[in-house]
Amino acid sequence: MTRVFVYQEQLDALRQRWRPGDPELSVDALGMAMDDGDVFHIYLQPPRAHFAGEPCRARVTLSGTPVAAPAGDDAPRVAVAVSPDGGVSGLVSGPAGPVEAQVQVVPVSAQLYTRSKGLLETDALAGRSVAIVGLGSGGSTIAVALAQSGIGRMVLVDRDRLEAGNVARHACGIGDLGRRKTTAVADLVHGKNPALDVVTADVDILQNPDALENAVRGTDLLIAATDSDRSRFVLNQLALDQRLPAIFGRVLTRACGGDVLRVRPFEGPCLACVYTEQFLAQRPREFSRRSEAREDAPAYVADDDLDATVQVGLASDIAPISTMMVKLALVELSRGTSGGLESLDQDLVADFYVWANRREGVYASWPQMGYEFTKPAVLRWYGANLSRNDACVSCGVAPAGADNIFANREAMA
Amino acid sequence: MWNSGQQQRLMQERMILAQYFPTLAWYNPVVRGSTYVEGVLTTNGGGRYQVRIMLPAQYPNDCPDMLVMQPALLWDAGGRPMVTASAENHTLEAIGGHTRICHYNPRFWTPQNTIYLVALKGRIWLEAYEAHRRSGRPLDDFLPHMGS
Ligand SMILES: [Zn+2]
Repeated sequence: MTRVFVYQEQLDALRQRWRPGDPELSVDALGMAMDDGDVFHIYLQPPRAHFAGEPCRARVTLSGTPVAAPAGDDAPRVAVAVSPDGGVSGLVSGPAGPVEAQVQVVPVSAQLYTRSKGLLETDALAGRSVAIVGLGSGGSTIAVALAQSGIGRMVLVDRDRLEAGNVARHACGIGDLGRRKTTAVADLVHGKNPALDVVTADVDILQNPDALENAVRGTDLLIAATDSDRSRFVLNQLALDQRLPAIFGRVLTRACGGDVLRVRPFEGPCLACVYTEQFLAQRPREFSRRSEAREDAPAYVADDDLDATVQVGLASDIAPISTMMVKLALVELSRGTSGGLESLDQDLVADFYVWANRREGVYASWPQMGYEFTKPAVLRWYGANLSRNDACVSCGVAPAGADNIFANREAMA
Repeated sequence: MWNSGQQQRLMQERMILAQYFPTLAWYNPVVRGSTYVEGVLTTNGGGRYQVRIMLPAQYPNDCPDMLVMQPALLWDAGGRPMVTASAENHTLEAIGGHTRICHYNPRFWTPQNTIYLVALKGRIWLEAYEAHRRSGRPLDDFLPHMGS
């Protein structure tokens, strides 16, 4: 049977326009036909989330009587009637004339998440907010996963647009080419969780520190999914300044693996405690585009050398890193709630985690996976017991004794 | 205005710099993203170069630029102006016509690095520059570990 979907929230809005005493209220709507006319979605307002299909004319009528067969040259393809008691009926015009359709009302957004109750107390997370900085392949998939977990508010920060080279690994598709990553991902997550309050900020975090700080302020957690180490240090400082727990993730050169760091400001290590110059040289990060490598490498590096550093990993190489970041984020967000993630919280005691995709690069010397559990192997997580560096320039105790030149500007002439 | 953490950091850096590079002075010191340190560095051979270290808005998490202000432009041993990015010379593309020293690979920059260390690398680069001018050998030969 042909199925027709209408959205409860849009019907509610329509009902408010219905004055008592009116026999009926009929409005034109946008229909999207899919699967050769087997399925229709009817929009009384422009869709906020991603949608598919071929547009067609539709009409929705609030009426005490069942839907009437559309007639005439300008008849809509889909006609839906909604009775005062909430009953719905629909007719779809086909080659053999109008046929009855099964009309389904898509519940108000909050009801969409009732099914995950018990697994994760979504009511508890509805009060939580997350800032995601960097909406590439990692950040975009993390945004979707966190939206699905039922958090209440999400701040999306990126400066780039979606280009053809990104799409293969990005959560958004070619339908979003050329768009700002912030708005494209906002639409994507709305499709997963229409109740989510999404705020976008198109910010270059190296150039606009104030805009970045304002965008992130007041959130409960920072997801640092940018692709340069400098931007990670900037976000680390932001997390420390705003006392904001943060989750960092990286993919290594040639996507041979990656690492994830949780920063609980001034409780555990910060990014600068872990990512020393020597560390970064030993575990070089991945570049997904030549322009990105070019931007970050000294300008004199030859193109051939540059190509060697640009090795596009598959989405499946990035997914483990993103998934771990989401797990750590959910544990962090569920703290103090009856979130049902207590056992995971007990397991994830480490602040730093290492992942190997393949026995290549920094993992070339690792043994084959085989059947043993006592040796390091690919496709497993390893937590590392790292502690804070008391002398860390970012989170360590600042030595006293300096004159406060900022208290007296004249002194600095 | 630099934020409070950056202020703390810059005050520390100012103390250290005053001790080891007393010829370097601070300009626009409280304006975030506009602050620079400038002064004359003198090589062992007596060469005098006025250098400027410019602090980006996200310093120390972002990497500063270092320019040679006087002489406005440096010339290599072959008589070419040092205005382009060069692995041999450890230079980046000039800014405002001034030779730009590649003191750290921006890829491996960390907030552990300081203006003092940048100035020190600049000082070493200037020695290498003079050695290059004297010998004609690539500047890189005198800087085994810089900028890579
Ligand atoms: Zn630290």
